[in-house]
Amino acid sequence: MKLIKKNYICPFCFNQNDLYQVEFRCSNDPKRCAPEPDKIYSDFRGLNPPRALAKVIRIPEPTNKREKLQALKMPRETVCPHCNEKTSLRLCPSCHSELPYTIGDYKDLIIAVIGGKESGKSHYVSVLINKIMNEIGENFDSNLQPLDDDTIKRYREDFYNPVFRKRETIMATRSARADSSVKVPLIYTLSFMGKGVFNKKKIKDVATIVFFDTAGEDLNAEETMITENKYIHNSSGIILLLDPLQLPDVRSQLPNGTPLPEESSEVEDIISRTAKLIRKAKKIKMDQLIDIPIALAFSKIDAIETLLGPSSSLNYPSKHTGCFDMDDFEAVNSELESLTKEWQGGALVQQMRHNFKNHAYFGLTALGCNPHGTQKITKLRPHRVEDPFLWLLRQHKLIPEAKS
Amino acid sequence: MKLLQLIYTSCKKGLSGGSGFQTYAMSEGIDEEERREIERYGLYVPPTHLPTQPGREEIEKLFPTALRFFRLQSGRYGICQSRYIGRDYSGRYGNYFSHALILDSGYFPVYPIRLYNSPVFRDHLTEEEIQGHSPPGPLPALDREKITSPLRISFDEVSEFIKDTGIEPVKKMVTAAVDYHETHRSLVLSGSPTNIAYWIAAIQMAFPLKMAHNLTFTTYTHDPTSMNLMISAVPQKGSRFAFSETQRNFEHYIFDFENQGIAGLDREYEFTKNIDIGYTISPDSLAEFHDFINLFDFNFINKELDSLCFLLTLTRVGVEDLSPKQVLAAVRFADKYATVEILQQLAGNFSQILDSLSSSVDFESAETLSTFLFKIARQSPGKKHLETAYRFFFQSLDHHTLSPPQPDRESIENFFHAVREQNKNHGEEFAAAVLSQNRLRQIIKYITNNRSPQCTEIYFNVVIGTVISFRYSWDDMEAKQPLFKSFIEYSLANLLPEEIHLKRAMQSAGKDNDFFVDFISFCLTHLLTSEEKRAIFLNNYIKVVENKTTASAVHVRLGLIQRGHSQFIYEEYFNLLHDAPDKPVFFRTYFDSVFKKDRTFLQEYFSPAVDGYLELLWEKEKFKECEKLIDAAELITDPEVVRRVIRDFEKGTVLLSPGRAARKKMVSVQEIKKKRKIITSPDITGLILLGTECEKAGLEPEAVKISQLIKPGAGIHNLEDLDIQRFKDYLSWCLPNLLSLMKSHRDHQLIFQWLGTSKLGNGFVPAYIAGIKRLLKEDKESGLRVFLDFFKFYLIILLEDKQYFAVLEESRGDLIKMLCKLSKSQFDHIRSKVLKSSAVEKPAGKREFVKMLEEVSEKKQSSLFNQFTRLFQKKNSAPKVNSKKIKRIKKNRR
Repeated sequence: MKLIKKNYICPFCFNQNDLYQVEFRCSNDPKRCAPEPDKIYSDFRGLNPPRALAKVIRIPEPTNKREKLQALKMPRETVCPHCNEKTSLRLCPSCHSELPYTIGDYKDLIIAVIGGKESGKSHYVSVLINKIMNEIGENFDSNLQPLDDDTIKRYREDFYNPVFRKRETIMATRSARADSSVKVPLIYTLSFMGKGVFNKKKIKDVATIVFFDTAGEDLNAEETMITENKYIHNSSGIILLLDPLQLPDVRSQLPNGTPLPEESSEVEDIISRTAKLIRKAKKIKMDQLIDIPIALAFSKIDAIETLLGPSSSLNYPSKHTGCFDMDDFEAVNSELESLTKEWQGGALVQQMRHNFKNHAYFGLTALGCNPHGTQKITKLRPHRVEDPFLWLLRQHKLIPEAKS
Repeated sequence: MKLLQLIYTSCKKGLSGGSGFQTYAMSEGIDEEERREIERYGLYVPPTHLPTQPGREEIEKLFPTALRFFRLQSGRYGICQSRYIGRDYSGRYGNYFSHALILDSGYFPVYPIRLYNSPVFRDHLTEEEIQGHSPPGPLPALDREKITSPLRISFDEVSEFIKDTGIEPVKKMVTAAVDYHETHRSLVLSGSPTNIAYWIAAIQMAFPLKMAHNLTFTTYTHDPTSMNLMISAVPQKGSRFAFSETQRNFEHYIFDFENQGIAGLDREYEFTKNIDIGYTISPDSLAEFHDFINLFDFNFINKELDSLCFLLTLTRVGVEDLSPKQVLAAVRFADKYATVEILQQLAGNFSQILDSLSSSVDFESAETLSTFLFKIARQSPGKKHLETAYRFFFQSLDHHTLSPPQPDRESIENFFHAVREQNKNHGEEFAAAVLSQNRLRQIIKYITNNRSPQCTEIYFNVVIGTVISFRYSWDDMEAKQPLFKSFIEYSLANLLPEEIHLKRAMQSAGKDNDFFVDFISFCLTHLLTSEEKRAIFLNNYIKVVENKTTASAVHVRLGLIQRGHSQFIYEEYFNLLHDAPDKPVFFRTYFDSVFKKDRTFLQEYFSPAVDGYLELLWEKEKFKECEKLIDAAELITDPEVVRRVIRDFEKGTVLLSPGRAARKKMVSVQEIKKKRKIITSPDITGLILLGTECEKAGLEPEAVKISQLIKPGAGIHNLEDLDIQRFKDYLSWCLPNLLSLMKSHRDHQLIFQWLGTSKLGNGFVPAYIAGIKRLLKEDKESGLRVFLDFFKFYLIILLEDKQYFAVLEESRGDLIKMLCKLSKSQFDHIRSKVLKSSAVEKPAGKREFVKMLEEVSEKKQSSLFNQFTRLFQKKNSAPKVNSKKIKRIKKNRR
């Protein structure tokens, strides 16, 4: 969707800048235009001494009316004053990270996938992206494309290969405190086909989708969240994963011998910390609700099939084909809300209601099998993985809804 | 000194409170910021090409150990060992174990690389620790010496390894490490893990232990670009490092030992030769080099190490093996980093080679060496080092002054000034050395033998510069140093033939006004025997004084006048006046600043000064300047010059009614002329004053007789030399006043007599008649009287006196015209008065009178007015009037 935007948020440092506030990096051969130390880039990444990178070209602030009018659009390219070569590598002026080439053109959706340790975040991201690329692409006539090489490489190495090729569980995500590379997002463009004049096919909408995976331990302390997880309060939607196998009530109902992860009751703390972080950062008072849509999704529901009734809507695949099926959504939402109350008590539901204006409950499984113990994926059967994501797209009016 | 510990891994309970990757435990004394840094340094990302779910054996065999040596922001040094351990407490893969040892202060007792695979590091948690449900307590701080045994990599092992693999990569890696200080291009090593440890050891052991602490490293990393380490080892496969061309050529120096891809480095540092010898031939020589490095307060890995290497050669072998540049670098290094004890030791070594150094090192080296030697001398007791320093300083100075055919004056003087500046806190001592009897004798010997003006100038500037900078007066120098005057004498003898050198030398002496006065006075009195020399000297003196401020220049001039060099100063004045673009301004300034300040000089030289001044003035400037000089006329002793001033003043004065001030000025000129008995012809001043009196008398014509004012023939009344224009101007001013004073035809005669026959032409008569006409018009009564007297004067005197013959005809015509224009009553009045007067007593007069009356009558008849009257009468009698004809007649007449 083409928008008239006035500003943009850098997906790396999350500073909000005016559209014209952009810098460029010279793209010429370093032999022709010698690199020079980039202090801003190095400081942001904690690199000392500053690394020598291709020269940074600053765009002067608009001074007259004509320039101010031009500044309503983000500059696409500039000429390096040192080598006179054109460049279109745009940088965030605050951190000198290379901005996605679609930035400033389309709606940006930053999706934060959060959850406690071992709740299956990385596996969810891995399967969800694959699902969007394939099934959702067909159902919604859409296409998800990675925006840069880092995204392609990282998704392939860290997410796709272990799950889809090796059929192994993904390694525990390292803490961003030690490894800043885990803070680098996966950036995609999601385009939707539609019909234009004379029924001619055309690309109707485009959105930049930015996924952030995180280590569960980085949500353990507010202090770490503030420094390492800035994307949460800048996100357009949050998918909060909750592993039902970590809930004491669920564990007691499961048959003996079921391989289980470590018990945890952190989820309430995570919601509480997340809400607090967003309120602080966005200066939202306690008598106001947070307007970021949050999807609370129970992961690994394949392991608790026995606890769901035979008429449970979770037993069926989702019905979102070409539009977001509200009936199906409401059925799942109300069922999971009551299950949440049953398993976790009313506190969690109340916490959601009292903090988030727009929230919903989902159930899904990314792998469709329990890998605990062996760390092998015996049979990959993702189920309802796309529901929270489609709900977030619906919240941002990117897909239509349908109700009987 | 203690070693603080920190363990980081994915565990159930650690310091963060929850489970997962975190610091499991650490020693007290590590703060939060340090903890975060250590956690980052401890990061282990396994190579991606290795099994993702490896067993213990695979881990042991395949996964490289990351030994990292780093420096925290707080300044503390730390080493950590990170190893991949596979599963975490929950059974998930991806866990690693990092054990860091942080020195609370100081340096490690061994090269950090020697802790590679050291048992001092832990590589896992115990089962009890894994299952522990409460956070562990703080880890104990270890004794620093605990890490010293057992150690893995020895110098001999490294030496053997290098002998097998070749020294060249080591030299290049060391060169890259030295350049890191400037380029910030870190070293990326790629090879087998065991060899990597040896390569890093080779780099570290090339330097003394303390210095090697600058060489931060890791034996394994998946991404060298994200690590703040100087040396990073990274495997070819499974890392995030691309080994791209940009990284190879601009961001890092890559040493790919597996593929023989060694970074190309153009330069090679001298000290790497020591490393080469140390590793391959003689370990002792490297140890000696390290010991030598340790003597200095120098702990950087940069290209100054080469200077240190030269210094070692200089002290051990001597100057022969080094180029002047290398000597310079060595001395600079010592100067910058050596302690007092080392400096003294070095100075001992230096003194043996100083004599040869002073004549072999280049100019810059000489300066550095001098500075260095003085620095040592100042820090050492006794005079031995100081004498050495001065000896070297003077020898270098003499060498650079006397040896080359064209000495580089500017550099030598800069060198001298630099050393002088360095010794400014010991000014007395420095000046005493430079101006000592021996030194002056030496210099005199040089300049008398050499006779080169260039060298003499340098020595002159140096000696005089010292005298002036230490504020010694001429008298001081005369009293203290008997050779000083001889030095000046010999110097001047050499400098005089080359003006450029003389000028610069004098400029140097001119930096202090009092000294300069004494210097000039001395030269004028004792040295400048010939006029030619004196002229050259004056010429250069002027150039020096020209660059001084006005106050300083005056100070010098007055000083020299007081010392009896008035003639010299007068000559300077005349030269300056000659060249001054605006002479009046120069003259006035000079008058105010010099002449006025010294009475004797004024009396003696003001007259010729004025004379010369008038000589050089433009004509148009003269009047104005003389007008001003009249006020100072009393100061001009020479009457001839005064006369010249007055003459030039009168020459420019306009003969018109003066204003009040001008009249006053005229009166004073009159007085001066009277006092000095000055006569000028024409006497403009007198004429103007006479004109003024006439003007005054014109206001009361009855009270003044014209004969009282005008005395024709002599004095002021002599108009013979007056030029025509000024005469006319004067008439136009005086005549109306004189006419109003006329009381008889004798008065007219007086005027005619005064003006003399030569002046009566040139339009005098028409002007005279015009004056009478104007009077007639303005005051009919007195006008008619004056006209009548003039008529009488015409008939009685002009007709008779032959000397007026030239103006007779002119007067007659004008008289007839005037008579024609008179009214009838006026005409009748004149006719009757003339007829009754003595004017017609003589027959000639009577005849002329009758003739004139007839002519008047005729003229009147033929006048246009009468013709018109007649025509008008005709018109009345005859009816036909031809108006066209009348017009034609009028036209014809016209």
